[in-house]
Amino acid sequence: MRLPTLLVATSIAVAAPARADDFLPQTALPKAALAATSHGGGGDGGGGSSLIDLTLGVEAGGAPLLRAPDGPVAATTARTSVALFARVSIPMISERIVEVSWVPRHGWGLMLESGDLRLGAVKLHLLDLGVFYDSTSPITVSRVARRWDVAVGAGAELTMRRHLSLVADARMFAPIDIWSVVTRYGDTARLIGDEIMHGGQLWVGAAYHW
Amino acid sequence: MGGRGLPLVAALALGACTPDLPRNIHVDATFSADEVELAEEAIRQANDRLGVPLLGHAVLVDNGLYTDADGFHYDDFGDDVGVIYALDSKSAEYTWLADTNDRDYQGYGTLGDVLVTVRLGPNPTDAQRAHFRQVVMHELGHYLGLPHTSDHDAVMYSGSGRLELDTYTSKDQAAFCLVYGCGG
Repeated sequence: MRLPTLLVATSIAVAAPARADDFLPQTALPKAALAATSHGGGGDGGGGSSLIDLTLGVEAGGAPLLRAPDGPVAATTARTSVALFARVSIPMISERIVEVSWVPRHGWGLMLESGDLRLGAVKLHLLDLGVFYDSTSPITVSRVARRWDVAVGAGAELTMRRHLSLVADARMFAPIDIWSVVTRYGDTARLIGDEIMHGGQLWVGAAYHW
Repeated sequence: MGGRGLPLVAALALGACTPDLPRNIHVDATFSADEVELAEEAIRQANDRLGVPLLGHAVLVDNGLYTDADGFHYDDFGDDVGVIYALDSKSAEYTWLADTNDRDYQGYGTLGDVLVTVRLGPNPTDAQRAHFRQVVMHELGHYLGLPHTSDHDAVMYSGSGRLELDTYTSKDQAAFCLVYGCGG
């Protein structure tokens, strides 16, 4: 099974059993006890009884720090991009959030978001780490042909209403096989590294929680 | 920072990214006839002194002359077409390389391509021809994944020492075997 298909299948499989009853036969806990073991849902500050927190969102943005194409090599990094994402967590097990994202014209991402910090209505995830499958074209330095990137970033979420949030995320993408890039490009790999550093995407959008 | 440890570490590190052999290589069509002849001889030396005796087969396949419409450019390293390029010492690429590393280069080799800055005039002396050939052999060594060595009696010596070596030495063969194993 190719990875994008696997990611979609996984996200659907995780998101599908929305009812807590689906999980109860495996445990003797009554519903009330089960609810007490979970840790709040979707950043709405209330409820706290969901087995699975699901968030769907859309963001848009680009690479604000990318320099104008007047350097020794023309940049081949997306200056604008859109991302659609699904974030899933199972509070009973962990506060960690798994994100599956799709960036049209580029590919699919799988991130683990952590480093949570809550400041009033703002929830931060300060350490996001994952991989990006370049199914169409890499977001950053597409002139370096490859299929897989490592992705790192951070994000923030501002709760607006019970189910609605404003979200902002920063993502930086670099070839997973960075050693091959260095051995192939030699010192000029510095130019690639510079473009990676300046070519991080900053996205802002909205998300809906269940 | 001398000693034998560094070349060994470098060899092992490069070994983690050892290219499949034999590798295809072209020769830049902008080289003069003398330079093409010497570049092709350097390719033969790699096969005769490294590939055949140590692995039992050639390590480089000479694919003949190559014409790049706009000469060498940084991104040619990543185009999967291995070429021994003539790099003009006045070019933007050479200037960037020299300025970035604060040194002059006679050649530069990666797993992507080989760049040769030193050029031959119309009537080169034997010493100039030997110099050019050794530079090409040295950079072809990098194209094959070989690291520098601190031994003067090696084509892969990192400094500007002997320039009359006309073939890879036993020290180069030892470095080659560190990377490729030589069936041992």
